[in-house]
Amino acid sequence: MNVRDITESRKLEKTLHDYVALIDDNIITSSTDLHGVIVKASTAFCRISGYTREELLHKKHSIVKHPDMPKKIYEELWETISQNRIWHGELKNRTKNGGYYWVDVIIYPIYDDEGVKIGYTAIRHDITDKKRIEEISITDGLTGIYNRRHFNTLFSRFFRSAKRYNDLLCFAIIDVDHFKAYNDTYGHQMGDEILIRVAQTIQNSMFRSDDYCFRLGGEEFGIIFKDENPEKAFSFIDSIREKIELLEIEHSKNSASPYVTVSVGVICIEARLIDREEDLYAAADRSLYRAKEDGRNRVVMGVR
Amino acid sequence: MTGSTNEKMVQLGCVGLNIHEDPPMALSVLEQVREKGCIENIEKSCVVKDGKKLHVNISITLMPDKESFW
Repeated sequence: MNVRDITESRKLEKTLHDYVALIDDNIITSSTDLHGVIVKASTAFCRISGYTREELLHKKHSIVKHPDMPKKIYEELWETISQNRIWHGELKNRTKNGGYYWVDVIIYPIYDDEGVKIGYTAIRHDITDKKRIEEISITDGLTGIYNRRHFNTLFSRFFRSAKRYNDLLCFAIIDVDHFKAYNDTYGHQMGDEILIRVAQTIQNSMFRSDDYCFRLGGEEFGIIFKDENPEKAFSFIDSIREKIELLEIEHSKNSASPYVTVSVGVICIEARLIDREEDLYAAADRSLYRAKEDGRNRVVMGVR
Repeated sequence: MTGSTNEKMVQLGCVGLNIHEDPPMALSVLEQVREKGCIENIEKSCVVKDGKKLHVNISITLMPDKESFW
């Protein structure tokens, strides 16, 4: 009889087992084969996604893919890991009950003893709260569209990008006509409703990926976009003005219409012809002033 | 390893050594050894002198005798 003391190795095994159990319970991790089919899923992954382990195994990660995530991100992810490189990024995922969570993800290729790639392991951590804070910090609390803070950031970025490619840069400032008189007549609560409906109308008109709208402050909204020519830009902005009037929200103190309307100043210029962001803003502001002077409920296209 | 003397170990015998926490399983292991002649890598917990717990890996092979020659 050969008897060997394995107490120490048992202790190590237990330590490892406890550690793995701790990881399994707290780290959102999963492994897939080379085709992306899930072969392992941690308890933490099950918990955050709302799926059981059985529901996740043998499925692809598309089970938690959120429709908000652009296809391009996944193409880039697969291109990276297919080349045996590590992918690191942030993904919005969908839970089983239709909710969502954000994760910071690192995906590593995994290899067998012979060094042959056999799949991928993803390690994630929950950044939903961070993303919510980010979202809140760039969103206008009343209307739900981007706020002035985000405008300041994005306007600079947009300006630099347009200059690089010499795009036709367009900026519009939209102002609700006689808004103070509206508030005085119908009350501030109704005034807030107007701002929400105007913001929604503008937001619903943003069809292109490079169209951005903001609440600049008070009853003033801004749109930055790129277009092919000033005529198209004008008709785009004028269609928004028209949609707002067509909401047919009564405004008895509006000199331009029986309904709530907006005046818009817009500037379209080749990015290379303008040196400072402030000049673009000032030009749009001058056009807005003219739109008001000329009787409101209109769009005035300015020159630099 | 067990903290017992040679004499004490011989006196206790394999099962009675208190080496196995689970005497029925120990008996079944011995039964297998009797049938097959050997058994390899059985892992067991034992309680040895002073109540200390010990984990052991055991392999057992029957010694050849007149009836069985391996």
